[in-house]
Amino acid sequence: MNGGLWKRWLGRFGGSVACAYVCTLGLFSLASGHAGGLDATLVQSLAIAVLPLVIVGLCALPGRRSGPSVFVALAVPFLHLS
Amino acid sequence: MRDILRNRMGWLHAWVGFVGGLVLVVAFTGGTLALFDTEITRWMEPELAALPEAAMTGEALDHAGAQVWALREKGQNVFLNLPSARDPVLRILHYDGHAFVGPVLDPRDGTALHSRETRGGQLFFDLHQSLYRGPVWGNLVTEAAGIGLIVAVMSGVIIHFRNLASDLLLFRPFAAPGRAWLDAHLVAGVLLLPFIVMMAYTGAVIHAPRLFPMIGAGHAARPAGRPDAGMRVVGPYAPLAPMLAQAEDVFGRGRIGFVMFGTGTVSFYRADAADFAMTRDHADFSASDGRLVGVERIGHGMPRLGGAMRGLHFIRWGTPALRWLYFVCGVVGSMMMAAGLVLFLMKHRRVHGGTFRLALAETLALAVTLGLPLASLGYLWGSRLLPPELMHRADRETGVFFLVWLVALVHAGMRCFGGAVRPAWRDQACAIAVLGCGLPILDAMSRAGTALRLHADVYLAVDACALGFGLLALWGQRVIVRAR
Repeated sequence: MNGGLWKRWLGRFGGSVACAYVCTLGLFSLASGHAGGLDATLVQSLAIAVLPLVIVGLCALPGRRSGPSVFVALAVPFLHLS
Repeated sequence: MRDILRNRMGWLHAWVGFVGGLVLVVAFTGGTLALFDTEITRWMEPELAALPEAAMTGEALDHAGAQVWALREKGQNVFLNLPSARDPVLRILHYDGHAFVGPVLDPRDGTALHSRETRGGQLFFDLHQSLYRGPVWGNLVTEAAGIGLIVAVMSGVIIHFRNLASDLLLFRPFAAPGRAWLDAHLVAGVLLLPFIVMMAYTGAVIHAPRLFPMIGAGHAARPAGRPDAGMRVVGPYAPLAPMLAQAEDVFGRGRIGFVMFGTGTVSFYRADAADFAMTRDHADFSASDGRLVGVERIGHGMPRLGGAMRGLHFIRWGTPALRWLYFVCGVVGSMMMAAGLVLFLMKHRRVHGGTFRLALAETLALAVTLGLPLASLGYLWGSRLLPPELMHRADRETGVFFLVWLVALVHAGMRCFGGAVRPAWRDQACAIAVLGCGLPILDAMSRAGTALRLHADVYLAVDACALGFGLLALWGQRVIVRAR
Protein backbone atom coordinates (compact mmCIF):
# COMPACT_ATOMS: atom_id res chain seq x y z
CA MET A 1 0.00 0.00 0.00
CA ASN A 2 1.14 3.52 -0.67
CA GLY A 3 2.86 4.59 2.58
CA GLY A 4 1.82 8.22 2.30
CA LEU A 5 -1.81 7.36 1.72
CA TRP A 6 -1.79 4.89 4.61
CA LYS A 7 -0.42 7.51 7.00
CA ARG A 8 -2.92 10.04 5.75
CA TRP A 9 -5.80 7.63 6.37
CA LEU A 10 -4.46 6.80 9.83
CA GLY A 11 -4.20 10.48 10.63
CA ARG A 12 -7.69 11.06 9.30
CA PHE A 13 -9.05 8.19 11.38
CA GLY A 14 -7.48 9.56 14.57
CA GLY A 15 -8.73 13.04 13.77
CA SER A 16 -12.19 11.70 12.89
CA VAL A 17 -12.52 9.82 16.17
CA ALA A 18 -11.44 12.84 18.22
CA CYS A 19 -13.63 15.20 16.22
CA ALA A 20 -16.63 12.84 16.38
CA TYR A 21 -16.28 12.44 20.14
CA VAL A 22 -16.01 16.16 20.79
CA CYS A 23 -18.83 17.00 18.36
CA THR A 24 -21.15 14.34 19.82
CA LEU A 25 -20.40 15.44 23.35
CA GLY A 26 -20.89 19.11 22.51
CA LEU A 27 -24.08 18.48 20.58
CA PHE A 28 -25.73 16.47 23.33
CA SER A 29 -24.50 18.70 26.13
CA LEU A 30 -26.04 21.60 24.24
CA ALA A 31 -29.25 19.64 23.58
CA SER A 32 -29.50 18.62 27.25
CA GLY A 33 -29.09 22.22 28.32
CA HIS A 34 -31.72 23.55 25.91
CA ALA A 35 -34.25 20.77 26.45
CA GLY A 36 -34.12 21.26 30.21
CA GLY A 37 -32.84 17.92 31.44
CA LEU A 38 -33.24 15.21 28.85
CA ASP A 39 -33.15 11.67 30.20
CA ALA A 40 -29.47 10.70 30.55
CA THR A 41 -29.99 7.20 29.14
CA LEU A 42 -31.76 8.63 26.09
CA VAL A 43 -28.96 11.13 25.49
CA GLN A 44 -26.32 8.43 25.88
CA SER A 45 -28.25 6.07 23.57
CA LEU A 46 -28.41 8.75 20.89
CA ALA A 47 -24.77 9.68 21.41
CA ILE A 48 -23.71 6.05 20.99
CA ALA A 49 -25.74 5.86 17.76
CA VAL A 50 -24.35 9.14 16.42
CA LEU A 51 -20.68 8.60 17.31
CA PRO A 52 -19.92 5.73 14.87
CA LEU A 53 -22.00 7.43 12.17
CA VAL A 54 -19.89 10.58 12.44
CA ILE A 55 -16.64 8.56 12.49
CA VAL A 56 -17.61 6.68 9.32
CA GLY A 57 -18.90 9.88 7.71
CA LEU A 58 -15.68 11.76 8.38
CA CYS A 59 -13.55 8.86 7.20
CA ALA A 60 -15.65 8.66 4.04
CA LEU A 61 -14.81 12.22 3.06
CA PRO A 62 -12.45 12.49 0.10
CA GLY A 63 -8.87 13.72 0.50
CA ARG A 64 -7.45 17.12 1.30
CA ARG A 65 -7.77 20.25 -0.77
CA SER A 66 -11.26 19.37 -1.91
CA GLY A 67 -13.18 22.11 -0.11
CA PRO A 68 -16.99 21.97 0.07
CA SER A 69 -17.03 19.73 -3.00
CA VAL A 70 -16.31 16.81 -0.63
CA PHE A 71 -19.97 16.75 0.35
CA VAL A 72 -21.02 16.45 -3.29
CA ALA A 73 -18.41 13.77 -3.80
CA LEU A 74 -19.72 11.96 -0.75
CA ALA A 75 -23.33 12.13 -1.88
CA VAL A 76 -22.64 10.74 -5.36
CA PRO A 77 -21.75 7.16 -4.36
CA PHE A 78 -24.75 7.00 -2.01
CA LEU A 79 -27.05 8.19 -4.77
CA HIS A 80 -25.45 5.62 -7.00
CA LEU A 81 -25.95 2.86 -4.43
CA SER A 82 -29.60 3.70 -3.96
CA MET B 1 -4.32 2.44 -4.33
CA ARG B 2 -6.74 5.18 -5.35
CA ASP B 3 -8.34 7.45 -2.79
CA ILE B 4 -11.95 6.41 -3.45
CA LEU B 5 -14.81 5.71 -1.04
CA ARG B 6 -14.57 1.93 -1.33
CA ASN B 7 -10.85 1.97 -0.56
CA ARG B 8 -11.28 4.35 2.36
CA MET B 9 -14.00 2.13 3.79
CA GLY B 10 -11.85 -0.93 3.09
CA TRP B 11 -9.00 0.59 5.10
CA LEU B 12 -11.37 1.52 7.93
CA HIS B 13 -13.00 -1.92 7.95
CA ALA B 14 -9.69 -3.78 7.85
CA TRP B 15 -7.81 -1.85 10.52
CA VAL B 16 -10.64 -1.10 12.92
CA GLY B 17 -11.82 -4.67 12.36
CA PHE B 18 -8.40 -6.17 13.12
CA VAL B 19 -7.31 -4.03 16.06
CA GLY B 20 -10.81 -3.91 17.55
CA GLY B 21 -11.36 -7.53 16.54
CA LEU B 22 -8.59 -8.75 18.85
CA VAL B 23 -10.63 -7.37 21.75
CA LEU B 24 -14.01 -8.15 20.23
CA VAL B 25 -13.32 -11.86 19.74
CA VAL B 26 -12.55 -12.06 23.48
CA ALA B 27 -15.59 -9.98 24.44
CA PHE B 28 -17.94 -11.81 22.07
CA THR B 29 -16.71 -15.28 23.05
CA GLY B 30 -16.86 -14.34 26.73
CA GLY B 31 -20.36 -12.95 26.30
CA THR B 32 -21.50 -16.04 24.44
CA LEU B 33 -20.32 -18.27 27.27
CA ALA B 34 -21.74 -15.85 29.85
CA LEU B 35 -25.22 -16.48 28.44
CA PHE B 36 -25.00 -19.70 30.42
CA ASP B 37 -22.92 -18.37 33.31
CA THR B 38 -25.24 -19.81 35.95
CA GLU B 39 -25.27 -23.22 34.26
CA ILE B 40 -21.47 -23.22 33.93
CA THR B 41 -21.20 -22.31 37.62
CA ARG B 42 -23.42 -25.27 38.47
CA TRP B 43 -21.28 -27.55 36.28
CA MET B 44 -18.28 -26.36 38.26
CA GLU B 45 -19.97 -27.30 41.53
CA PRO B 46 -20.44 -31.07 41.05
CA GLU B 47 -21.18 -31.54 44.76
CA LEU B 48 -24.61 -30.00 44.12
CA ALA B 49 -25.52 -32.49 41.38
CA ALA B 50 -27.04 -34.91 43.86
CA LEU B 51 -29.22 -32.26 45.50
CA PRO B 52 -32.88 -33.17 44.94
CA GLU B 53 -35.06 -30.51 43.36
CA ALA B 54 -37.05 -28.81 46.08
CA ALA B 55 -38.93 -25.56 46.51
CA MET B 56 -37.55 -23.02 48.97
CA THR B 57 -39.21 -23.14 52.39
CA GLY B 58 -39.91 -20.23 54.70
CA GLU B 59 -37.69 -21.87 57.31
CA ALA B 60 -34.79 -21.93 54.84
CA LEU B 61 -35.27 -18.26 53.97
CA ASP B 62 -35.38 -17.19 57.62
CA HIS B 63 -32.31 -19.29 58.41
CA ALA B 64 -30.47 -17.77 55.44
CA GLY B 65 -31.55 -14.27 56.52
CA ALA B 66 -30.11 -14.85 60.01
CA GLN B 67 -26.79 -15.91 58.44
CA VAL B 68 -26.72 -12.82 56.24
CA TRP B 69 -27.38 -10.52 59.21
CA ALA B 70 -24.63 -12.26 61.17
CA LEU B 71 -22.18 -11.71 58.32
CA ARG B 72 -23.21 -8.08 57.94
CA GLU B 73 -22.67 -7.51 61.64
CA LYS B 74 -19.10 -8.67 61.02
CA GLY B 75 -18.80 -5.98 58.33
CA GLN B 76 -19.27 -8.15 55.22
CA ASN B 77 -21.29 -6.61 52.41
CA VAL B 78 -23.39 -9.62 51.43
CA PHE B 79 -26.82 -10.23 49.97
CA LEU B 80 -29.09 -13.21 49.41
CA ASN B 81 -29.80 -14.72 46.01
CA LEU B 82 -33.06 -16.69 45.92
CA PRO B 83 -33.53 -20.00 44.09
CA SER B 84 -34.69 -19.90 40.48
CA ALA B 85 -35.33 -22.32 37.65
CA ARG B 86 -31.71 -21.86 36.49
CA ASP B 87 -30.15 -22.10 39.95
CA PRO B 88 -32.27 -23.98 42.49
CA VAL B 89 -30.24 -23.10 45.60
CA LEU B 90 -29.96 -20.18 48.00
CA ARG B 91 -26.69 -18.27 47.80
CA ILE B 92 -25.17 -15.70 50.16
CA LEU B 93 -23.14 -13.60 47.74
CA HIS B 94 -20.63 -10.78 47.82
CA TYR B 95 -18.79 -9.09 45.00
CA ASP B 96 -15.08 -9.90 45.00
CA GLY B 97 -14.16 -7.41 42.28
CA HIS B 98 -14.78 -9.87 39.44
CA ALA B 99 -17.73 -12.07 40.38
CA PHE B 100 -20.48 -12.64 42.92
CA VAL B 101 -19.29 -15.50 45.11
CA GLY B 102 -20.27 -17.03 48.43
CA PRO B 103 -21.64 -20.02 50.30
CA VAL B 104 -24.46 -22.16 48.95
CA LEU B 105 -27.47 -23.00 51.13
CA ASP B 106 -30.00 -25.81 50.95
CA PRO B 107 -33.38 -24.38 49.80
CA ARG B 108 -35.19 -26.85 52.07
CA ASP B 109 -33.73 -25.76 55.43
CA GLY B 110 -31.12 -23.06 54.78
CA THR B 111 -28.17 -25.12 56.00
CA ALA B 112 -24.83 -24.67 54.27
CA LEU B 113 -24.13 -27.12 51.47
CA HIS B 114 -20.64 -28.40 50.90
CA SER B 115 -19.47 -27.08 47.55
CA ARG B 116 -16.17 -25.96 46.14
CA GLU B 117 -15.26 -22.28 45.95
CA THR B 118 -15.48 -21.05 42.36
CA ARG B 119 -16.18 -18.00 40.23
CA GLY B 120 -17.86 -20.33 37.75
CA GLY B 121 -19.33 -18.84 34.60
CA GLN B 122 -19.06 -15.32 35.96
CA LEU B 123 -15.41 -15.30 34.90
CA PHE B 124 -16.69 -15.19 31.32
CA PHE B 125 -19.11 -12.41 32.19
CA ASP B 126 -16.26 -10.36 33.65
CA LEU B 127 -14.10 -11.15 30.62
CA HIS B 128 -16.95 -10.05 28.38
CA GLN B 129 -17.68 -6.74 30.05
CA SER B 130 -14.24 -5.65 31.21
CA LEU B 131 -11.63 -8.16 29.99
CA TYR B 132 -11.02 -8.95 33.68
CA ARG B 133 -9.43 -5.51 34.01
CA GLY B 134 -11.95 -3.93 36.38
CA PRO B 135 -14.87 -1.58 35.99
CA VAL B 136 -12.90 1.47 34.80
CA TRP B 137 -10.26 0.69 32.17
CA GLY B 138 -11.67 -2.70 31.27
CA ASN B 139 -15.14 -1.25 30.62
CA LEU B 140 -13.62 1.61 28.67
CA VAL B 141 -11.69 -0.73 26.36
CA THR B 142 -14.69 -2.96 25.66
CA GLU B 143 -16.84 0.15 25.17
CA ALA B 144 -14.38 1.49 22.60
CA ALA B 145 -14.26 -1.94 20.95
CA GLY B 146 -18.07 -1.96 20.80
CA ILE B 147 -18.07 1.39 19.00
CA GLY B 148 -15.34 -0.03 16.77
CA LEU B 149 -17.57 -2.99 15.94
CA ILE B 150 -20.37 -0.67 14.83
CA VAL B 151 -17.87 1.31 12.73
CA ALA B 152 -16.54 -1.92 11.20
CA VAL B 153 -20.08 -3.13 10.45
CA MET B 154 -21.06 0.18 8.82
CA SER B 155 -17.92 0.34 6.70
CA GLY B 156 -18.37 -3.34 5.80
CA VAL B 157 -21.95 -2.70 4.70
CA ILE B 158 -20.82 0.23 2.52
CA ILE B 159 -18.13 -1.97 0.91
CA HIS B 160 -20.53 -4.83 0.19
CA PHE B 161 -23.78 -2.90 -0.20
CA ARG B 162 -24.38 -3.92 -3.80
CA ASN B 163 -23.71 -7.60 -3.13
CA LEU B 164 -25.48 -8.07 0.19
CA ALA B 165 -28.10 -10.43 -1.27
CA SER B 166 -25.60 -12.55 -3.17
CA ASP B 167 -23.23 -12.62 -0.15
CA LEU B 168 -26.06 -14.17 1.81
CA LEU B 169 -26.24 -17.16 -0.55
CA LEU B 170 -22.68 -17.67 -1.69
CA PHE B 171 -20.54 -19.94 0.45
CA ARG B 172 -17.79 -22.04 -1.14
CA PRO B 173 -16.06 -23.91 1.68
CA PHE B 174 -13.96 -25.98 -0.73
CA ALA B 175 -12.73 -23.04 -2.80
CA ALA B 176 -9.24 -21.57 -2.37
CA PRO B 177 -8.59 -20.76 1.33
CA GLY B 178 -8.80 -16.98 0.87
CA ARG B 179 -12.12 -17.25 -0.99
CA ALA B 180 -13.55 -19.74 1.53
CA TRP B 181 -12.62 -17.54 4.53
CA LEU B 182 -14.09 -14.47 2.78
CA ASP B 183 -17.31 -16.34 1.97
CA ALA B 184 -17.60 -17.52 5.58
CA HIS B 185 -16.96 -13.99 6.87
CA LEU B 186 -19.53 -12.48 4.50
CA VAL B 187 -22.26 -15.08 4.96
CA ALA B 188 -21.99 -14.99 8.74
CA GLY B 189 -21.67 -11.21 8.76
CA VAL B 190 -24.72 -10.64 6.57
CA LEU B 191 -26.86 -13.29 8.27
CA LEU B 192 -26.03 -12.00 11.75
CA LEU B 193 -25.97 -8.32 10.85
CA PRO B 194 -29.06 -7.43 12.96
CA PHE B 195 -27.87 -9.52 15.91
CA ILE B 196 -24.34 -8.09 15.87
CA VAL B 197 -25.54 -4.50 15.53
CA MET B 198 -28.09 -5.02 18.31
CA MET B 199 -25.54 -6.58 20.68
CA ALA B 200 -22.86 -4.00 19.92
CA TYR B 201 -25.27 -1.09 20.29
CA THR B 202 -27.02 -2.27 23.46
CA GLY B 203 -23.68 -3.26 25.01
CA ALA B 204 -22.23 0.15 24.18
CA VAL B 205 -25.30 1.91 25.61
CA ILE B 206 -25.11 -0.11 28.85
CA HIS B 207 -21.56 1.11 29.45
CA ALA B 208 -22.07 4.51 27.80
CA PRO B 209 -21.45 6.36 31.10
CA ARG B 210 -17.84 5.16 30.85
CA LEU B 211 -17.45 6.91 27.51
CA PHE B 212 -19.61 9.93 28.34
CA PRO B 213 -19.11 10.37 32.10
CA MET B 214 -20.20 13.98 31.89
CA ILE B 215 -23.72 12.99 30.74
CA GLY B 216 -25.90 11.57 33.51
CA ALA B 217 -24.97 10.29 36.95
CA GLY B 218 -21.95 8.20 35.98
CA HIS B 219 -21.34 4.49 35.79
CA ALA B 220 -23.03 2.13 38.25
CA ALA B 221 -20.15 -0.35 38.49
CA ARG B 222 -17.86 0.02 41.49
CA PRO B 223 -14.90 -1.86 42.92
CA ALA B 224 -15.39 -4.69 45.37
CA GLY B 225 -15.45 -4.58 49.12
CA ARG B 226 -16.72 -1.07 49.69
CA PRO B 227 -18.93 -1.39 52.77
CA ASP B 228 -21.98 0.80 53.14
CA ALA B 229 -21.61 3.69 55.53
CA GLY B 230 -23.14 2.75 58.85
CA MET B 231 -23.73 -0.79 57.64
CA ARG B 232 -23.31 -2.40 61.03
CA VAL B 233 -26.76 -2.76 62.57
CA VAL B 234 -27.77 -4.89 65.51
CA GLY B 235 -30.85 -7.12 65.74
CA PRO B 236 -33.37 -8.41 66.49
CA TYR B 237 -34.52 -8.85 62.91
CA ALA B 238 -37.90 -9.79 61.57
CA PRO B 239 -38.15 -13.12 59.67
CA LEU B 240 -37.83 -12.86 55.89
CA ALA B 241 -40.53 -15.33 54.83
CA PRO B 242 -43.51 -13.03 55.59
CA MET B 243 -41.72 -10.17 53.81
CA LEU B 244 -41.21 -12.38 50.76
CA ALA B 245 -44.93 -13.19 50.71
CA GLN B 246 -45.76 -9.47 50.74
CA ALA B 247 -43.17 -8.71 48.06
CA GLU B 248 -44.67 -11.48 45.90
CA ASP B 249 -48.06 -9.86 46.35
CA VAL B 250 -46.54 -6.74 44.82
CA PHE B 251 -44.45 -8.22 41.98
CA GLY B 252 -46.02 -11.64 41.45
CA ARG B 253 -45.33 -15.12 42.73
CA GLY B 254 -41.83 -16.41 41.95
CA ARG B 255 -40.74 -13.02 40.61
CA ILE B 256 -38.36 -12.04 43.40
CA GLY B 257 -34.71 -12.56 42.51
CA PHE B 258 -32.58 -11.38 45.41
CA VAL B 259 -32.69 -9.70 48.79
CA MET B 260 -30.49 -6.75 49.75
CA PHE B 261 -29.88 -5.75 53.35
CA GLY B 262 -29.44 -2.11 54.28
CA THR B 263 -29.30 -0.08 57.45
CA GLY B 264 -32.57 -0.99 59.09
CA THR B 265 -34.21 -2.10 55.83
CA VAL B 266 -34.53 -5.25 53.79
CA SER B 267 -35.23 -4.87 50.05
CA PHE B 268 -36.73 -7.61 47.88
CA TYR B 269 -35.73 -7.03 44.25
CA ARG B 270 -37.65 -8.26 41.27
CA ALA B 271 -35.78 -11.02 39.39
CA ASP B 272 -34.00 -10.14 36.14
CA ALA B 273 -35.95 -12.94 34.48
CA ALA B 274 -39.33 -11.50 35.52
CA ASP B 275 -39.68 -8.99 32.70
CA PHE B 276 -38.22 -7.93 29.36
CA ALA B 277 -36.97 -4.65 30.82
CA MET B 278 -34.25 -5.41 33.34
CA THR B 279 -35.01 -2.88 36.06
CA ARG B 280 -34.28 -2.82 39.74
CA ASP B 281 -37.88 -2.64 41.02
CA HIS B 282 -37.96 -3.47 44.70
CA ALA B 283 -40.10 -3.57 47.82
CA ASP B 284 -38.53 -2.25 51.03
CA PHE B 285 -39.33 -3.56 54.50
CA SER B 286 -38.37 -2.52 57.98
CA ALA B 287 -35.69 -4.95 59.17
CA SER B 288 -36.90 -4.85 62.77
CA ASP B 289 -40.65 -5.50 62.37
CA GLY B 290 -41.04 -6.61 58.71
CA ARG B 291 -43.41 -3.75 57.85
CA LEU B 292 -43.62 -2.75 54.17
CA VAL B 293 -42.16 0.76 54.02
CA GLY B 294 -42.09 1.40 50.29
CA VAL B 295 -42.22 0.05 46.76
CA GLU B 296 -40.07 1.43 43.98
CA ARG B 297 -41.04 0.68 40.40
CA ILE B 298 -39.40 2.07 37.31
CA GLY B 299 -42.17 3.79 35.38
CA HIS B 300 -43.02 3.42 31.73
CA GLY B 301 -41.42 5.52 29.02
CA MET B 302 -37.90 6.88 29.17
CA PRO B 303 -36.91 5.48 32.59
CA ARG B 304 -37.44 1.97 31.21
CA LEU B 305 -35.17 2.58 28.22
CA GLY B 306 -32.03 1.53 30.07
CA GLY B 307 -33.81 -1.57 31.39
CA ALA B 308 -34.98 -2.47 27.89
CA MET B 309 -31.41 -2.16 26.58
CA ARG B 310 -30.21 -4.43 29.37
CA GLY B 311 -33.06 -6.84 28.75
CA LEU B 312 -32.20 -7.12 25.07
CA HIS B 313 -28.50 -7.57 25.77
CA PHE B 314 -28.55 -9.93 28.76
CA ILE B 315 -31.66 -11.89 27.66
CA ARG B 316 -32.27 -13.00 31.27
CA TRP B 317 -36.02 -13.00 30.58
CA GLY B 318 -35.59 -15.39 27.66
CA THR B 319 -36.62 -19.01 27.52
CA PRO B 320 -33.85 -21.62 27.26
CA ALA B 321 -34.58 -21.90 23.51
CA LEU B 322 -34.06 -18.17 23.02
CA ARG B 323 -30.88 -18.27 25.05
CA TRP B 324 -29.61 -21.13 22.89
CA LEU B 325 -30.43 -19.05 19.81
CA TYR B 326 -28.35 -16.19 21.24
CA PHE B 327 -25.61 -18.70 22.02
CA VAL B 328 -25.52 -20.03 18.45
CA CYS B 329 -25.53 -16.47 17.07
CA GLY B 330 -22.72 -15.59 19.49
CA VAL B 331 -20.63 -18.57 18.41
CA VAL B 332 -21.15 -17.79 14.72
CA GLY B 333 -20.44 -14.10 15.39
CA SER B 334 -17.17 -14.97 17.13
CA MET B 335 -16.23 -17.20 14.21
CA MET B 336 -17.09 -14.41 11.76
CA MET B 337 -14.76 -12.03 13.62
CA ALA B 338 -12.05 -14.69 13.79
CA ALA B 339 -12.45 -15.22 10.02
CA GLY B 340 -12.00 -11.45 9.60
CA LEU B 341 -8.73 -11.60 11.54
CA VAL B 342 -7.53 -14.47 9.35
CA LEU B 343 -8.51 -12.60 6.17
CA PHE B 344 -6.56 -9.54 7.34
CA LEU B 345 -3.49 -11.69 7.97
CA MET B 346 -3.79 -13.51 4.62
CA LYS B 347 -3.99 -10.19 2.82
CA HIS B 348 -0.96 -8.72 4.55
CA ARG B 349 1.10 -11.92 4.46
CA ARG B 350 1.61 -11.41 0.73
CA VAL B 351 3.41 -8.11 1.27
CA HIS B 352 4.68 -8.23 4.84
CA GLY B 353 5.43 -11.96 5.17
CA GLY B 354 8.33 -12.64 7.55
CA THR B 355 8.27 -9.24 9.26
CA PHE B 356 8.12 -8.74 13.01
CA ARG B 357 4.83 -6.85 12.78
CA LEU B 358 3.08 -9.61 10.89
CA ALA B 359 4.44 -12.31 13.22
CA LEU B 360 3.12 -10.29 16.17
CA ALA B 361 -0.27 -9.93 14.49
CA GLU B 362 -0.32 -13.69 13.72
CA THR B 363 0.54 -14.44 17.35
CA LEU B 364 -2.17 -12.22 18.80
CA ALA B 365 -4.80 -13.44 16.34
CA LEU B 366 -4.05 -17.08 17.15
CA ALA B 367 -3.98 -16.38 20.90
CA VAL B 368 -7.48 -14.88 20.87
CA THR B 369 -9.00 -17.14 18.20
CA LEU B 370 -7.91 -20.55 19.50
CA GLY B 371 -6.07 -19.64 22.71
CA LEU B 372 -9.22 -18.33 24.39
CA PRO B 373 -11.36 -21.46 23.77
CA LEU B 374 -8.38 -23.52 24.92
CA ALA B 375 -8.10 -21.48 28.13
CA SER B 376 -11.87 -21.80 28.69
CA LEU B 377 -11.65 -25.57 28.44
CA GLY B 378 -8.56 -25.49 30.67
CA TYR B 379 -10.63 -23.54 33.22
CA LEU B 380 -13.28 -26.29 33.24
CA TRP B 381 -10.60 -28.96 33.56
CA GLY B 382 -8.96 -26.99 36.37
CA SER B 383 -12.28 -26.75 38.16
CA ARG B 384 -12.51 -30.52 38.41
CA LEU B 385 -8.82 -31.29 38.93
CA LEU B 386 -7.97 -28.78 41.65
CA PRO B 387 -8.69 -30.14 45.15
CA PRO B 388 -12.09 -28.91 46.42
CA GLU B 389 -10.65 -27.76 49.76
CA LEU B 390 -7.77 -25.77 48.28
CA MET B 391 -7.13 -22.38 49.89
CA HIS B 392 -8.11 -19.41 47.66
CA ARG B 393 -9.50 -21.94 45.25
CA ALA B 394 -11.44 -19.47 43.09
CA ASP B 395 -8.26 -17.47 42.50
CA ARG B 396 -6.33 -20.63 41.64
CA GLU B 397 -9.04 -21.68 39.16
CA THR B 398 -8.91 -18.28 37.53
CA GLY B 399 -5.12 -18.61 37.54
CA VAL B 400 -5.44 -21.85 35.57
CA PHE B 401 -7.51 -20.04 32.94
CA PHE B 402 -4.94 -17.26 32.48
CA LEU B 403 -2.01 -19.67 32.71
CA VAL B 404 -3.39 -21.80 29.86
CA TRP B 405 -4.08 -18.65 27.85
CA LEU B 406 -0.52 -17.42 28.51
CA VAL B 407 0.90 -20.78 27.43
CA ALA B 408 -1.20 -20.55 24.25
CA LEU B 409 0.17 -17.03 23.62
CA VAL B 410 3.78 -18.10 24.20
CA HIS B 411 3.28 -21.15 21.99
CA ALA B 412 1.72 -19.00 19.27
CA GLY B 413 4.60 -16.53 19.55
CA MET B 414 7.29 -19.18 19.35
CA ARG B 415 5.69 -20.83 16.34
CA CYS B 416 4.69 -17.66 14.45
CA PHE B 417 8.03 -15.91 14.97
CA GLY B 418 9.68 -19.16 13.86
CA GLY B 419 7.72 -19.04 10.61
CA ALA B 420 5.53 -22.05 11.43
CA VAL B 421 2.13 -20.39 11.44
CA ARG B 422 0.11 -23.29 10.08
CA PRO B 423 1.57 -25.81 12.58
CA ALA B 424 0.79 -23.32 15.36
CA TRP B 425 -2.90 -23.30 14.39
CA ARG B 426 -2.88 -27.08 14.07
CA ASP B 427 -1.25 -27.56 17.51
CA GLN B 428 -3.78 -25.40 19.29
CA ALA B 429 -6.69 -26.96 17.39
CA CYS B 430 -5.38 -30.37 18.52
CA ALA B 431 -5.19 -29.16 22.12
CA ILE B 432 -8.80 -27.93 21.95
CA ALA B 433 -9.83 -31.29 20.47
CA VAL B 434 -8.15 -33.19 23.30
CA LEU B 435 -9.56 -31.01 26.11
CA GLY B 436 -13.01 -30.73 24.52
CA CYS B 437 -13.47 -34.41 23.69
CA GLY B 438 -12.00 -35.40 27.06
CA LEU B 439 -14.25 -33.16 29.17
CA PRO B 440 -17.27 -35.53 29.25
CA ILE B 441 -14.93 -38.29 30.45
CA LEU B 442 -13.50 -36.00 33.13
CA ASP B 443 -17.04 -35.07 34.17
CA ALA B 444 -18.05 -38.72 34.42
CA MET B 445 -14.98 -39.51 36.53
CA SER B 446 -15.13 -36.50 38.85
CA ARG B 447 -18.87 -36.22 39.54
CA ALA B 448 -19.49 -38.88 42.13
CA GLY B 449 -22.84 -40.61 42.25
CA THR B 450 -24.72 -38.85 39.47
CA ALA B 451 -22.34 -39.02 36.51
CA LEU B 452 -23.82 -42.17 35.02
CA ARG B 453 -27.42 -40.94 35.14
CA LEU B 454 -28.07 -39.35 31.76
CA HIS B 455 -30.42 -36.38 32.16
CA ALA B 456 -31.01 -33.34 30.02
CA ASP B 457 -29.32 -31.12 32.61
CA VAL B 458 -26.49 -28.59 32.82
CA TYR B 459 -23.87 -31.33 32.98
CA LEU B 460 -25.02 -32.95 29.76
CA ALA B 461 -25.27 -29.54 28.05
CA VAL B 462 -21.75 -28.43 29.03
CA ASP B 463 -20.28 -31.85 28.18
CA ALA B 464 -22.08 -31.91 24.81
CA CYS B 465 -20.90 -28.39 23.93
CA ALA B 466 -17.31 -29.20 24.90
CA LEU B 467 -17.48 -32.40 22.85
CA GLY B 468 -18.94 -30.50 19.90
CA PHE B 469 -16.22 -27.85 19.98
CA GLY B 470 -13.62 -30.60 20.42
CA LEU B 471 -14.87 -32.42 17.31
CA LEU B 472 -15.00 -29.13 15.39
CA ALA B 473 -11.39 -28.46 16.34
CA LEU B 474 -10.46 -32.02 15.33
CA TRP B 475 -12.04 -31.46 11.92
CA GLY B 476 -10.33 -28.06 11.67
CA GLN B 477 -6.87 -29.42 12.36
CA ARG B 478 -7.41 -32.14 9.73
CA VAL B 479 -8.34 -29.44 7.22
CA ILE B 480 -5.14 -27.56 8.14
CA VAL B 481 -3.07 -30.75 7.65
CA ARG B 482 -4.66 -31.50 4.26
CA ALA B 483 -4.15 -27.94 3.05
CA ARG B 484 -0.37 -28.16 3.43
